[in-house]
Amino acid sequence: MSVPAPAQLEQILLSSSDLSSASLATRITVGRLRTEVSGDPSSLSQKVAELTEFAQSNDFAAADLANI
Amino acid sequence: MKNEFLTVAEASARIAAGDVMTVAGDADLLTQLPAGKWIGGTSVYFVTETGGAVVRDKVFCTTFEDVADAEVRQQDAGSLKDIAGGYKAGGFTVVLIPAFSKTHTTFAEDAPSMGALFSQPLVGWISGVHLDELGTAKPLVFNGANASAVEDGAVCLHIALPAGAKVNTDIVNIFDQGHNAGTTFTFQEKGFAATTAVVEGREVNFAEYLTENNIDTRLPLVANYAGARVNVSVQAVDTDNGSVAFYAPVMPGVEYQLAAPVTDYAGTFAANLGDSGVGQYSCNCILNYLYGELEGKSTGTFTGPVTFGEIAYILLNQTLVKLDIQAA
Repeated sequence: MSVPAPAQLEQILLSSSDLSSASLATRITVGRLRTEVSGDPSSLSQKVAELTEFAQSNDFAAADLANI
Repeated sequence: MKNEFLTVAEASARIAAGDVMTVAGDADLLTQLPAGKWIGGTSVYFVTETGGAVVRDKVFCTTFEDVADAEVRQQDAGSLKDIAGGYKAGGFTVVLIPAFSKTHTTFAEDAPSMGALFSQPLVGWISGVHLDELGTAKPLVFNGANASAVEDGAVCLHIALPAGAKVNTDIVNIFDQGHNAGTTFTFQEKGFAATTAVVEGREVNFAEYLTENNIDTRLPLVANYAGARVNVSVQAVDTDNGSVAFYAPVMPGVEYQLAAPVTDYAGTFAANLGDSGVGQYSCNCILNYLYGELEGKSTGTFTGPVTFGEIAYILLNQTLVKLDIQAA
């Protein structure tokens, strides 16, 4: 499963949309990362890297993020 | 998966026969069980098919049938990251932690940032005691591998499923955010207690604010994690020292909204759960049991322990956690 591009993951973290069709693990992870980015916008690239690693390590997460 | 109340003798026989189980019950019963592939936790409150009930003469057993492998492991507060080290490919893990322990606090505060825990379903609950015995009885969990009681630690049942089987976990939260600016809060620090909160751009003493505005603290604070509604429940409001205690930690920067009121707890649960509970693993919160006055009221077909906190990757409050396995 291919992981969405960093620009797409960046948009996911900057958005506030509900990922209702995603797994609970992905929703909680994205929710936490969004809060961290909101509190420290300069951390965006670091959080995108963390989300990328999460998706690379877990096919279900890659699928969740690709289907957003 | 099979959910049922068993006598100690019946549960012991199942364990001796090699069944893979999670067990919930009174400490006096759990201490009688033999070593085997099980984990347990103290709880005397249950959601049964006929409604909420206190049960002290039997243990509630969930038997995971047709598993490919199972292993019991134990971690302490300092090694919670290693829970993921026991994950089995394509499987899931059940974790039980005693209430009020250091492990409970550490898991609650740190699990959201432990990325490896999220790589497969992790469910479980916080063990408790009868509310009349708060302060006198100790919540315990049990490591079935050596049939020992644990006052502070996390016991994990790691399960591998046959190829092609699927497992899914989710939460059922009957509460929605209230969407009222006057009851929307953020906190500056992570923790099980807070003295201040920010509401409508003002920093306020949280205890005074809740009291002066007659806010119903039986309603949880609801955060929205990308569509997953995660509750934090208020434990106590102390206006003398100006602090509010929670049953789960608030997180800095997260927006919490007081939940909209729910008038019919049991009915709302039943409506949200449908009739798919038979054969699923689930646990529900003691606060739902109390505030919803669920004793004797049916909430549908989901049965399981009523707990001092639910776990679906992270610690939850006032929530039902469910896990479903679909055979190959």
